[in-house]
Amino acid sequence: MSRDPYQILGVSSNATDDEIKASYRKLAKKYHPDLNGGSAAAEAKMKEVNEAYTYLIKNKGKAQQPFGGGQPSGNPYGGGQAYGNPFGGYYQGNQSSSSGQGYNPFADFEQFFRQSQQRQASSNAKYTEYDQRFKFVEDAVLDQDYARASQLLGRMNDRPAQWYYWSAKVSIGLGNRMSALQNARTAVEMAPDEEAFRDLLNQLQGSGSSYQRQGSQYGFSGALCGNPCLTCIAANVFCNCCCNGSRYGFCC
Amino acid sequence: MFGYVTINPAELNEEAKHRYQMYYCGLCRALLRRHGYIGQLTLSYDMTFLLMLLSSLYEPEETVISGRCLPHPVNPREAILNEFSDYCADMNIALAYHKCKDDWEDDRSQAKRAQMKLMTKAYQRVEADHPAKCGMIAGYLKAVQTAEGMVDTHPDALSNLTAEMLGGLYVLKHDQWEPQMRIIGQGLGRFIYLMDAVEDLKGDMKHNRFNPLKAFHDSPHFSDLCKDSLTLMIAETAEAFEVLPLVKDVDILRNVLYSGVWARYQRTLAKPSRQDEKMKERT
Repeated sequence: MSRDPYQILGVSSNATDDEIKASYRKLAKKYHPDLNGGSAAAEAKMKEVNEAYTYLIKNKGKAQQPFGGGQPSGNPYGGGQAYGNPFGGYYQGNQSSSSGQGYNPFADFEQFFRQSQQRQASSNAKYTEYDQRFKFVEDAVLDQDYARASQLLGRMNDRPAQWYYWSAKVSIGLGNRMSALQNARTAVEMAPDEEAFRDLLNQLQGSGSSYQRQGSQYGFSGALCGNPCLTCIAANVFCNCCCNGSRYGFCC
Repeated sequence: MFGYVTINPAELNEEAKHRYQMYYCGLCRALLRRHGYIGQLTLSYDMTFLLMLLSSLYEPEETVISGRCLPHPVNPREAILNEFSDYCADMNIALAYHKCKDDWEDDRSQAKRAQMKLMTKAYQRVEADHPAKCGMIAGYLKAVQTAEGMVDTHPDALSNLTAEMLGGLYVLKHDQWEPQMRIIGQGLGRFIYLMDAVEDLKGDMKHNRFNPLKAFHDSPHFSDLCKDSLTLMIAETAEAFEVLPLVKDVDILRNVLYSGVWARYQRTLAKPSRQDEKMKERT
């Protein structure tokens, strides 16, 4: 199948997500197997509609491959920074943002995560003082053997910035969000010039600003700004730390 | 469970607020119908969200009933009932029952014990209908008890336990939307746990109760860390939510996820600072 997914869903190529969703619902009802007496044609149509929807909504803004092209091979990362949420498979990148490019539309979470790790790991070569002890930790992380990585880190007596960086990576692998943020932040504080450290922290905080963008798109003036009387102080603090202040000046 | 997952009424129009109230009343009706007055007392916002989410995703036939009730004896209220009302009512009972049981075991609170006893019959009914979900909730609270008993339990461990439990409750149908429903439940579970820990921290320190944030509260960026973590958790939830093809009542659901969930946080964060300022002004 190589038809245009917009055409399959009967919407224009600049349709909003909500228009795509409404159209999908209409078609899903129309071709639902239960309503078509198990007709093979309806089933095929439903499959096509589902694939088009998956392509347009689940992988929005990450489309590099043509629709219906199957599983792509090779590394989909062009070299741009992927600021996706490293914990989830359904990161919705911002198309217009320069930071959200190079996402493989077909990768499931594990694939994405592995590649993300590999990409990040290769960038470690840029470290000014690369501590060889962390090579073993890096290997364990690449193998997704977080227990071993954790053990190796636990055995080290000193805690340089890299220690926190790798602890953050291990936390991501283990699904520990608060630890990941905490360690990434410490790494950046200790070595503010290290690009890989900043990238990791940005990646973890990036989904928050994506969330705020989404929220404002739907008419919410920032996550913490619902009640202006109560929240001026809180919202300012929040906005300054999460969205680099100036961009989200509408908060209060 | 905790009442964090609710609307921000300031950002909703009258019609939308009315629809939310109809779901809320519907859940209350379902609780009354299935479990009597004691069931009604467990009514919560958190399960109202699940009810609305399921109703929006599957658009089942709905029955609107109108009438007076015990909490609103004068003005009749409209309520929506549909095929998901009973499930959400039952899960509400199961969560409330286990919460009481947990509080009784933790604090030996006689009031909670009495409440638990009153709910036993209702819970047995729920357990008979949903043995797997009830087993999951019981297992979750046991795991939490064990984790709370250990010396250096990290908040992540506990929020991830809550995530697994709520993720399981959010999965009602095993269809193509199951992964998203699970992620939404998990994300809200993490968010709720951490939010609750943040809100209770002061009180828990004062009364020497367990709180996994105690070990962190004097670190230099504590409040930023909490905010970043909560934001990451709810952002993941919203991401999965936006994949679902929701049309009906989607504005209300978005109001909850992008705005309503922060309402309590605002209050916790904003109130003390305002009071502090007033104190300063006085002195």
